[in-house]
Amino acid sequence: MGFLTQGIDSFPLTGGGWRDRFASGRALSDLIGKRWMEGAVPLTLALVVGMIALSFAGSNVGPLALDELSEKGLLAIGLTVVMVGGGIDLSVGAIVAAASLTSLVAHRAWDLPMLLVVPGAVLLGALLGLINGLLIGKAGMRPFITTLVTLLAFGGGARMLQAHYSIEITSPKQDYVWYVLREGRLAGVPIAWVIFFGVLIVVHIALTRSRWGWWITAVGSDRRSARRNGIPIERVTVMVYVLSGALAGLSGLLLAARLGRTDPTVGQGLELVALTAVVLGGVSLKGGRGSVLRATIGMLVVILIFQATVSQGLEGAYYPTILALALLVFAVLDLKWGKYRALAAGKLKNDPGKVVLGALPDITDPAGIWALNDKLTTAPPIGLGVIEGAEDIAIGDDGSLYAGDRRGWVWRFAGPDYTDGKVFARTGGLVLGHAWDAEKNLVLAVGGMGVYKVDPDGEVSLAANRVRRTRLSLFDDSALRFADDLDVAPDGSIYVSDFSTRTNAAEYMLELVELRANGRVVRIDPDGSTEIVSTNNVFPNGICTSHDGQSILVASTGLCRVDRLWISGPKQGQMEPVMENLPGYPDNINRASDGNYWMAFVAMRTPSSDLLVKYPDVRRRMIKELPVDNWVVPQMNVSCVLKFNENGEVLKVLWDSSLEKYPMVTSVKEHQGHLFLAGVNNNRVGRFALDPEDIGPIDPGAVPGTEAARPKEAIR
Amino acid sequence: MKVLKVLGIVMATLLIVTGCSVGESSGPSDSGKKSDQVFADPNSTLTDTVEKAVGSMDGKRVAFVPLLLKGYGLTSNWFESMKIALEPMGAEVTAYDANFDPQKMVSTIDQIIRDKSADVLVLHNIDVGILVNQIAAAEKAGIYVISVNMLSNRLGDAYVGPNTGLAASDIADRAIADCKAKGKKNISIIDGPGNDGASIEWVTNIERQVKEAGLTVTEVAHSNYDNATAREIAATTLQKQKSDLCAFMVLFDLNSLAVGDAVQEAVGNGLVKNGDVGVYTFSADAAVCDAMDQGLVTASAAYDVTGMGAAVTATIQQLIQMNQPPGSFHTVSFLGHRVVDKTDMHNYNVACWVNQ
Repeated sequence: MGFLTQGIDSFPLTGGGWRDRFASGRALSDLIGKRWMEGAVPLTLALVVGMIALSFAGSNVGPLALDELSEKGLLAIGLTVVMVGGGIDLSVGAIVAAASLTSLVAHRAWDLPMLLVVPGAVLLGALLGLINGLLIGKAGMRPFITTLVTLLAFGGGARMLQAHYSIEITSPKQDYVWYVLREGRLAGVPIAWVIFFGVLIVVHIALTRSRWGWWITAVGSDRRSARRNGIPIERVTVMVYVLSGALAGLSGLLLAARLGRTDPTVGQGLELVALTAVVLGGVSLKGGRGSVLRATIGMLVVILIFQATVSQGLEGAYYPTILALALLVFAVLDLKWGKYRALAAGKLKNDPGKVVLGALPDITDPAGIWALNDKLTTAPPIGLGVIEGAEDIAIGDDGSLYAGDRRGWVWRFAGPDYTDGKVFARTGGLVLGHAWDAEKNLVLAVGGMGVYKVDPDGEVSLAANRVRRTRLSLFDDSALRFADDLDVAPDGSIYVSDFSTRTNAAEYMLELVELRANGRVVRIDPDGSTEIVSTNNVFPNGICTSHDGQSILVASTGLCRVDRLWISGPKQGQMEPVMENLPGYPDNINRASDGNYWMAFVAMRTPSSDLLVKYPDVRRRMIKELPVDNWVVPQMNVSCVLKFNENGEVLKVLWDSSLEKYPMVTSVKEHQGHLFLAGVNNNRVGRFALDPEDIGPIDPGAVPGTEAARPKEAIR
Repeated sequence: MKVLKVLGIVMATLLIVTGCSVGESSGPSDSGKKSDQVFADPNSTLTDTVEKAVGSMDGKRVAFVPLLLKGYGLTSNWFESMKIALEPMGAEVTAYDANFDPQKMVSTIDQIIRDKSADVLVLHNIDVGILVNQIAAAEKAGIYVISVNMLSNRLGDAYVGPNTGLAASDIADRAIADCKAKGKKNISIIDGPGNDGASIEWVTNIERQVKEAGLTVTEVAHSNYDNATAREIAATTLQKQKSDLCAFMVLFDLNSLAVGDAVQEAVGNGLVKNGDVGVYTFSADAAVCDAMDQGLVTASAAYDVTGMGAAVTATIQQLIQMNQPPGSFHTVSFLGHRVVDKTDMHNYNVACWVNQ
């Protein structure tokens, strides 16, 4: 599993079994949500049909099938280009008939040299395609009816030609060029195959890699948008029919060379064959989507069906009947799959999981350490009405307060009175965790963007926003989608919690309800490279480097616990619990000056929220059927701050019992005898004067293990 | 476009290194040796002869690919003839119905060649050109090819069928005589798709005879051997020419019935008088004899359809017993025919045959 996963596996902390690791609904959503699934499903089904046909046709049918493919495949290529461009060409079979019979008449009855006959057949096809193109592109006629009419017209013309020269064209007149086209080989490969695969590769590259191809796709996807973007849609439309016609002409020439068919039914029914093939290949009837490679596979399947009916000695009527049925099934699939795929992926995406929480601790004892108090209520506000939702804050050496808010700005309030606030930097994302690095850059976790550094002049620069993608994962988890909190280690590494690889920052409530191990902890090396140090975390949130600099504390909001991850020393790479089964949902953790730690609860557990944790299916229904503000979630509007020591013992608890001033505290930072209170939903930052007993000699804002963090004389 | 450049260079290199070649054409192989034949020694006891003849056919596979089998008396007849003669000797006779689909016929034969699932291929060629490559490929694969009923641009090991050109001349002479008696000149020809051996011989020989007799061929129309098309063509021609028309020369008996119906209808509508327009055709099964009796069809060049099955059967055995490499000899064997009408049709065994 080491090849597939990165970092320490934190999944066992959820208490779930191995089956709980797999979110089947979500995995399905990931799969069907892939863009390539649009064509992959019909193609897979087509291949199954192809394998069945092959089992009837005989395994050595290959060369025969490829002979046919080199002629009919050209029609599939042409038709695919037309359909990607939003049209349809039913006249391909008639153009084949016209080109095939005309080339035989030109050579055998009119005695024209083959040097004229060969390009003439392709040109004739292009000319007939031009008629289609002009009628549809310039005159604005509907593709279906236009090409249905030209199918009859071109076919009628071909039959008239055949009737007029029926005896002359049966002359056994041969020419070396016919011989080469029929039996010639290039490097041992039949010429017709070489021509076909050459055309296939060129058209595939042109359709997928050239401006011309993008124009066709744009016109087929949305004509109006294409026009508004300056694409010459009339010219593009004419062009695709000319190409389709030219390829049908080439196909007719190869057919004439291989079979020399001179009967009036040549080419009849090929439109059904080509249409079935491309639809089997997942080319959408609605336009804008399709690949000539897949259409070629579709054609191969259709040819195998034909060979199977021949091999089984089935009557003639079976083949068109099977084709029509296949066309019907795949057309319905195209319509319904195209329509419901994204919808189904969206529905299956949210797939709540199971975690095990311990029994809800009783914190209602009025004499206990958790007893309610109003200490935080008294803290005077900073930036009241100016700051909007500062999730975290940082205090500089000069005493200035830096507070990122949800508009992406970072405020700077100069101490000691903190009345004068200015926007110090603009990040563009949801600013969450704050920390100082050793060079006194402000390091920010910016939700939706990654980790950024702001230098003392307010210049913002990217630290990291990507990690290596998990191998063999359908879901692209390479982006640091939701950097939440971070801290800096003695070696300059930045440890950041990415609370969900899946959920957008704006949808954090979903993560609280889904309770899946979607999060991870990432280390950003000073050289900018990244590695995942812990994976399968449930809502990892607070990150704090320990005082000795040898470990980081990781708060798992979803699991109501704090763990220690050793980053150096003899236990490096190990994880061990610090606090388990907390009565609330832990948020940011920060160092205290006395060698302990401060932590805030973003929410408190309640009997109802605990009950819900046990029933993923109820949460699933809740997500589906209720608006987000009606969801049953933990009690969010509390303001609980606690202090704990290295052993996880709770030393002190502070509340705003009024729930008016600081209804939700998400982070607390200690600086020079004061505790600064930040809250992601608050319109202020609080500055709470600590009791003298809480004040120690350490600078909590300095990177542990550095000179700046050495204990100094206590400020009292 | 870098990819295209690389591709171009690769292709050019391949071309230079390997050269452009064409497949080896199959030519006739060395003439066979007498000792390879089943009856190399002319002196043989009766028991020996029978044993050798039967033994030579034991396990042989004959594939019959007609352009239409189901519901078609002509080809069903030949198929039955082959089966009743060859199956008791231990040979296997299989029919593959092409159902008038040239593509299907080609693919069927391609598969037979690929699988080498036959020792003798009996082809009912749909047009003179289309099976040229298949005949060559089959011979190369060691399969004898017998073309039946219609000649092709490439001879297989044997052709067995009517001399359609001679039959066309004879029935044309009969029509010309009738027209001259009526004092009329216009003759209309209805053939198959126009590109098959029978159509070509039918049209060219009738045109020549009519021209020599000083009469006129007013049109040559292609029915594709489809009854409804044949009937439509006849109705339109009658509408145009009315009593000026003297005769319809319809290729193959089946379509002549539809043309006879069209003439009868025109008589009913008063467009032409009864007996004004004659219908002449090629081959006469029991249904055509009935039609001649009713006056729907005037005369037919009846040929030995029932004998053809036997002739093919004989040719198959000869090829096997001669044991020469396929493609080393080419023979053409014609069957007899006779022009009959309602007065004498029952006098000849080539007419009024019934389906087996």
